[in-house]
Amino acid sequence: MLKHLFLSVALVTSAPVIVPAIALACGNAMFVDGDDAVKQIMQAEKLLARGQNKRALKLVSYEYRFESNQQEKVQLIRATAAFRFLKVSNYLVSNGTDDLKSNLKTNQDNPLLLARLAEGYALSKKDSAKAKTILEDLATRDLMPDGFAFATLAKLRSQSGETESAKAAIQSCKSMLKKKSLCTRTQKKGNSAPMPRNRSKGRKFGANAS
Amino acid sequence: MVSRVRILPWIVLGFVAACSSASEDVASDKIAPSAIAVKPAPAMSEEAIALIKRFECNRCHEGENFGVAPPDKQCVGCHRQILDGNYEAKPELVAKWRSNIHSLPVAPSLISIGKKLRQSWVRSQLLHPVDQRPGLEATMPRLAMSDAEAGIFGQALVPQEAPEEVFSKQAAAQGATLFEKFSCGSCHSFGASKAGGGEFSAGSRATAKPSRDELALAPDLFLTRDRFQSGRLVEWLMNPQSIDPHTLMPNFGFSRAQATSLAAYLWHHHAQPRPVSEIPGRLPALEREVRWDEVFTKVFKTVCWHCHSSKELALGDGGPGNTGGLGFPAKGLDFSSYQAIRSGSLGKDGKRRSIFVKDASGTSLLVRHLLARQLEERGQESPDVRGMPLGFPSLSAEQVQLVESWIAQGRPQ
Repeated sequence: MLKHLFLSVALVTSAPVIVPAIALACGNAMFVDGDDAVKQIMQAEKLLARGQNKRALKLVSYEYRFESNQQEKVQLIRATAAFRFLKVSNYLVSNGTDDLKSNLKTNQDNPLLLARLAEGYALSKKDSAKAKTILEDLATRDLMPDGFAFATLAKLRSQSGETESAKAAIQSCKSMLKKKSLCTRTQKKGNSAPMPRNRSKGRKFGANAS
Repeated sequence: MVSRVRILPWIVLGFVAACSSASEDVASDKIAPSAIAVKPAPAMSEEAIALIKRFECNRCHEGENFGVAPPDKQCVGCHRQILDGNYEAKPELVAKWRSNIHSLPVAPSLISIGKKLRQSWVRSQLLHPVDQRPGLEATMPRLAMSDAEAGIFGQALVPQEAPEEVFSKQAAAQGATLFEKFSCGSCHSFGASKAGGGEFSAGSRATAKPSRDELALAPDLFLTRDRFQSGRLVEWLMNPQSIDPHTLMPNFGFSRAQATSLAAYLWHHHAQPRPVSEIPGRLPALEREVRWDEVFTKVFKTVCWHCHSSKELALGDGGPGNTGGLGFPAKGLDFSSYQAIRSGSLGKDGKRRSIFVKDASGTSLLVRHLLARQLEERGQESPDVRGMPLGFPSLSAEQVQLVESWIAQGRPQ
């Protein structure tokens, strides 16, 4: 009896050890080409760059499709798409700014997070001053992440009556983006936002991933 | 993905590796004990062990007290898995990756380094690395190490050198004959005489055709006087495995007299040093349009992303150039996307700074790093910037031109 008990314990405790290891080494040099989640993230980023925000938003609508270490990136894409596609009053926009603020706590001074947060702030009158402060600082430090950040800055400068510097920002945007029209396009207003989904956990869309 | 890594089996593998390595040591001692009586090496200091951990020597090397690097920090381990076909991924992906691995297929073991090399050489390699293995594209990276730390490393890795031995010049002539007869030059360069060709390629080698690893690890014999403990050289030539059981250097069965004459030849031969190629000139900026896709594909993804990657899109931890490693703090520099590269890197003050900031000559910080590597390869270190890619071949003039052109055009997406 005791012998059997020992054998059982030995088998149970050794089970994790004898499971063949996945020969997974670093792989820093490779995109995980075959991984669906990575493909979707990369595709969503491309769509954002082309101004296809609704499609980008749809691609990252299901949180459970992504690994925990990808959630921050997914939240960034979702927030950015929401800012560019939706009305300011939409809860996705406020969730987006909340997500970005939360991620900035552990990644302070991250220019991309800051620039996207500024895009979110720029949608509301009460926060537009904050948005301008952020973007002016990034521009001074040559840390504007892309043309969209310059487009937002141009809009904010224009609202402040800084016509010449607004033109300069538009110019910077145009030198970066292939599709120049995105530099002057106003925020598209719409109310047909794709509904957020988190089927597996039933969590509210945009809530921070654990 | 990373979260699927099972740590426990790796730990077990580590134990197995450690045990098998220990048993090899024992076996080799039985086969050919060294003739020179050396006191047992003193235990490595805690300070040295902490430095080994901090500089993550085990990313590339195996060594005493090095431990096994975690899977997401193994550089050579990962390369070898891919090259040997053991990497678990889709076969077509592994085949694609395999074709890209040429710079660092292997790195020398440091387990028996104390029985071969001079302490001064180890110190100088840590502070001012030179290319000692012409068959290996990668070199020892230029780490952020102080003189004092290099001294601790030197003492830990080479605690005691064998007494100096003097070789007679008269014996060198016979050594030259042996050198040619045994085709030492089929693996080793000797200064300007490249391995595998020229005057040293004649004769027949005692063993089969040199393997990829043998060719990669064979040091330039021009450096022998600086590298090797003279008091160990004869023993080494007589039976390399008695000194380093892991070495790939074949045992040619030299007698003591033969080994002494060969050592004399290596010591006294006035070989010409390897010629230093001219620094590639900077090409003028391209007039045609250069956009992100092109510069990313041809330079940033091919070269830089190896160490400055994204943990969301790649396996691994983001690389030492992003999340820190090899003794460097986390710089947060990520080359995986347009927005990431424009987001700069973390300075010493923890604040972000642009990598495109220009110096007085109008050269951006990024390009200065790339040009610094070209200088490092020619024995000139820039005091203010570290050459990039770290420890890997510098970019070609055309690649630098592409980066400079992209920057000059306003870094378009």
